[in-house]
Amino acid sequence: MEELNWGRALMSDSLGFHIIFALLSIGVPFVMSILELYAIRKKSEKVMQFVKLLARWTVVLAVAGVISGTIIAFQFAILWPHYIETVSPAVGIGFQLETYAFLLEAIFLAWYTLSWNKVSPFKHWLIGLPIFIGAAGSAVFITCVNAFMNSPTGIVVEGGKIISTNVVQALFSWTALFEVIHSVSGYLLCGVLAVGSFAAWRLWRSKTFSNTPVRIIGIMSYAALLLIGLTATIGHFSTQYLASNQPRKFAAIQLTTESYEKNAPYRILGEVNANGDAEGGIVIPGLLSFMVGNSFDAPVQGLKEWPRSEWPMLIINKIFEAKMAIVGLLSALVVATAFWFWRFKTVPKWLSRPFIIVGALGIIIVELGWMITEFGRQPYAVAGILKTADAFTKDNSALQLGIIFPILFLVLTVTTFSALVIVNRKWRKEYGVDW
Amino acid sequence: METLLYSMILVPLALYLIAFGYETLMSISRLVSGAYQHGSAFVHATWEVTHTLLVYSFVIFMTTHSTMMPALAPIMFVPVSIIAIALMLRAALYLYLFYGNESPKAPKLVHFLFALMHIVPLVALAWGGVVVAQKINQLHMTPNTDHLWIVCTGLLITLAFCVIPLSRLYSTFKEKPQQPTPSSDTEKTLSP
Repeated sequence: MEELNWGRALMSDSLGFHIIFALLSIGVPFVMSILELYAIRKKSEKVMQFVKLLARWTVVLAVAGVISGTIIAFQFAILWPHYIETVSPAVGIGFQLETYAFLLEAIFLAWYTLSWNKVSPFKHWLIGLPIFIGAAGSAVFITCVNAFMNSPTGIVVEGGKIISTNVVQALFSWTALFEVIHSVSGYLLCGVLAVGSFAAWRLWRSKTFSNTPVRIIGIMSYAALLLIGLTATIGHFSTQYLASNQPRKFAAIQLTTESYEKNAPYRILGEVNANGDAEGGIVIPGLLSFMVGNSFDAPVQGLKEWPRSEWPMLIINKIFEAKMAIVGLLSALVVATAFWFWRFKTVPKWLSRPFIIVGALGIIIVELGWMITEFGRQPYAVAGILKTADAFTKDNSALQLGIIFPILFLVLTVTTFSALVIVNRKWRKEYGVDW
Repeated sequence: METLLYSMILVPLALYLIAFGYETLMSISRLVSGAYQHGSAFVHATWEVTHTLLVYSFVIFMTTHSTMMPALAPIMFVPVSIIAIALMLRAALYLYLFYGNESPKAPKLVHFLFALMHIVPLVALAWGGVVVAQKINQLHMTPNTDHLWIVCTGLLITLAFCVIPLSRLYSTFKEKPQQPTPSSDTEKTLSP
């Protein structure tokens, strides 16, 4: 068990770092494309200069993202060989197609970087589009694989083994649809918030006032508003789907231990006692039923319908509540900033200063979201088919080198963000940017 | 079908080795010629695209040899871990040397480590390849080629999309920049 927990810690640590590079590699090219088109239409040299900075960010992030993704692939093979053995017949295609999307992104990034000022601005913008499409595409395919792990479909199982598969059904399920839209819109939102956050930081730090970062904050707040709306809407429908499709995980997220035929209460800040009963916190009668089924008469399954050994880690309830609190704070800030910019065409200090933290908040929200979905599936690696303990390698020496990886990921992350800081500095010097 | 499968694994791997070999030679030549002292003779960051070939080969191998993975994982563990560690250090050093360091005068030791982190994964890759090939031979198991037609179709579609940038990359690299179009930026003064 200790080796298993080590392996879990190692994998979650690697994925925790990798997701930062991955989401920024999707979100930043998305923003880059928007702003480049804006700069072309408005013939704005200042915004185009900023796009060049984002292009350099994308290159730095791609260098880190390539290697972190490679490490993840290696870890799957050497730490979780039984997982690979189980899922490959059904969704191995997803892993393979991901690499194609990745190849598309990388090649167009190379062409985009080298063709600056060597092709027409509009053609250059067109060359940049597949960067975002490829990055998003790789996220789509790997999320489809994750959806299969959470809710296996399109397969026939016998004796714990998958004996036949319908690859299309396995990869492209309803679970995948919800997961993909919710997560990809979240990544785009993170990219938008990271750029807005940077502009707010520079607005605070620069000695002279410049309208360019204000415009960037304003545009990013509009984009963030749209994406928050999309992510929240699909999140709501995703939650309703989760209640019926993965009721065990849903019950753990909402800390619902008893089953309800109707009027299931929504509990905030509750706890589960030694008897396995949820208690304490703020209880709102009937709200959970309404959220799940648009009616107070909607039934909700509680955790007690499963043996205690099959309960997911209940910490996901606290993670979920923390995530929602951060989402609320972020949404309030984005709405206020977007409204003020729309109304007054500027962003006051009392909004632009707090806007500095939105980039970090976005990343934290994504990390918490992935924790919820992954911890919530435990003790299974593939829900109902393969337990995490059975997916892990039987070679105990596998963990002897393991401690090196978190250290290396930390080194890579620090180096990447230091490189971004230096890139910013060089860019400001090269273009005489004073903000 | 197995021939096709192994072509799809080994050809990209061979291309990767050629590209990575070039990077390795460049990193060694920087040390030997002293070019590191003035920050020249480096491989452009866009060359990182070649690393996708390694991931591609590895993923195809892993997912089509899935029934063998429990047997292969223990013998792969050490060489793959060494490759992983070396490539991560290489990436961190690359970012430090060419993006994160404001002066070209990084210590010679750093450049030496950078060159070493090219040689180590090549050696580990050769070692891993040999032990894995030996084990596959012993196991007498066949890879899973059931969905190879989907993989091939995906490859053809991807190559079709990539053939344009691939054909234009070299000529774009050689072209001179055009004159930028005039800007109509007007700095509107708004109260902060």
